Amino acid sequence: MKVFADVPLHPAALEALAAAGAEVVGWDDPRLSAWAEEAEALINGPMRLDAAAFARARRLKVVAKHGTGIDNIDLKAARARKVRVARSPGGNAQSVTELAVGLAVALARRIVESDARIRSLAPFERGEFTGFDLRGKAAGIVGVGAIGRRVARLLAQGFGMAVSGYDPYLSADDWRRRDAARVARLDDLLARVDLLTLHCPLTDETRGLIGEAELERMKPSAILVNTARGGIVDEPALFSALSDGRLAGAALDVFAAEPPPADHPLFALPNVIATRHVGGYSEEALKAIGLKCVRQILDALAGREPEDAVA
Amino acid sequence: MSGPAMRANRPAVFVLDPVGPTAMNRLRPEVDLIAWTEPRVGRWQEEADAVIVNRRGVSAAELAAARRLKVISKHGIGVDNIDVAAARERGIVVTNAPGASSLAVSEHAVGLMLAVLRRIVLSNRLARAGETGWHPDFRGAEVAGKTVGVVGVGNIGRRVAAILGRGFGARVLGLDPYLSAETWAALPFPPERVPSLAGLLPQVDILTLHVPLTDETRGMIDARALARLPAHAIVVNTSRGGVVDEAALAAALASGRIAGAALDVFSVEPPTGDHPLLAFPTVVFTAHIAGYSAEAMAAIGNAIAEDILAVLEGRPPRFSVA
Repeated sequence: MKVFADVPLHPAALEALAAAGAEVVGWDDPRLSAWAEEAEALINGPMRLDAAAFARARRLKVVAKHGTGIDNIDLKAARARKVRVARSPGGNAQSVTELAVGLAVALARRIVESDARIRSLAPFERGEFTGFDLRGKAAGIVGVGAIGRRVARLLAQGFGMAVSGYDPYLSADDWRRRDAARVARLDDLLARVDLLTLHCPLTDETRGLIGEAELERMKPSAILVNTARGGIVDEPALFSALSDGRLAGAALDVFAAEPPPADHPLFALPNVIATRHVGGYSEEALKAIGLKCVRQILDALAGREPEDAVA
Repeated sequence: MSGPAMRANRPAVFVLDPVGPTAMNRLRPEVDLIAWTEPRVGRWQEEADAVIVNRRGVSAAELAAARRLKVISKHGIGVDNIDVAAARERGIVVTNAPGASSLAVSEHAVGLMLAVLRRIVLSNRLARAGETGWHPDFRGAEVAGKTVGVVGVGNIGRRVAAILGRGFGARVLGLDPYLSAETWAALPFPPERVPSLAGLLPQVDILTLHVPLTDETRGMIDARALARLPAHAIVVNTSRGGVVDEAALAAALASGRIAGAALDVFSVEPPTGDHPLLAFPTVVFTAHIAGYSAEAMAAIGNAIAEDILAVLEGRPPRFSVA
């Protein structure tokens, strides 16, 4: 059995695959490029799986998505070729939640800028790095699902923020179980928040959701955190808002095209924090998701129904 | 009415190093205010009725020549670099603003923790350099379910405990010999009380320091203390540089006996290029700005301005240490 993985796997997942007699070709192995010809199973990260990819992948029986978002997978094409697809919803929820909150505090308190200044040994006045407290401020959550609800809870109960949420897919009953007040229109949420954090999937509906008009509605003192998907934020519009002082800062774990090139325009701005799509990259999440992917693969190959199958 | 005649009747308040605008705006209409940028600031010992200090200390020798001085106002909390005993002897009041920045410091400490645990600074540096793969060092750890040791459960430590316990679902242990059992039990989020540092250290994944610098706390986190921490532990210091033995911390990081650190404070500030900790990519540094939120600066400015006016008018200040 040949299993390919275009993401790094936790050692526990590699052990489980070895114990099942699988040969594993990892994300940094040059043989990965031959995945379509050889793979029976694929543990999928950012690699795009469109109809053409499924057409080439003749031996492929199962794709285990190492994460939640399946915007990179053509499910119709998978079904047509009888390839099972399963994912790990919520498996990295705590990990992404804590990164989003860490990025919010890092932005509010200028941690990354301050670290760079200390390391540069250039002189400074401490007042240059004056930030703002989160407690008592307004946070807005776009997408109050598995991750967004945890972020809402952490910001409300841990930091004492006033949290509001926008999510057109939640029932009144769902909202009662959230630590976020429902705001029916995105525009109303944007205008009131000091921190906006995105936790929706990338779909046709959310592509470019935060564009020029939306950024214009935000307070100039507000900060934006995106640990969801790059395509949700219009990057050129974000660049102009940040460079004109119409938005105070942004932290981005995800980009429209990944990996982002070193000359990405946003990297020229000091009020931007960029991380390398590491939202789900905690020890705990990598282990839980890695082991789940292995179970899903072994189940599918044995003809059993994999957990959280979507195709 | 202005000019030297008017000025002579008003008390002279010298601001000896940079502070935010709040205190100065509050004082300017009522006193003769001399900022750190003015040449006259050099004459503070002869002329000052009050001084405001931020990072700068005040020594006994300086006080000996400060004949008019009635009040030293610390724009912050820590007065460890002000010779309080010498001030007391001369009848000079030392005021500070305890509590005004405790919220800011507590949030900063949590931010530093996450920055270390999730490699935010390293990931940012490598992303901006065009790193295309997953750097193996990016793998982080979550706070949920971890054990945090809070050393010093005062205004700041108790807020840190509440953020981590209530917000993140961490188990929080606290060490503070100066709190009564009743005070401890009445804390909004009482940490599990641990009687000794030696007993605390082996249990924690994250150690965060919130003590003043005193003879008792100087070098408290030394090689022996660091050796008691688990190898995956991280240390966060937003208190005072002298609480941690920096050479021992560098040695512990270099040999992998602890996993990471974040420091807002240093034994000598700002740190110079030969500082042993600057070599570690996994250590996060900030510039003694844990208390630097706009809200905290305004609260400190208001508090110290009111106390300076109180002392100059012969009333008792709200916050005095001597």
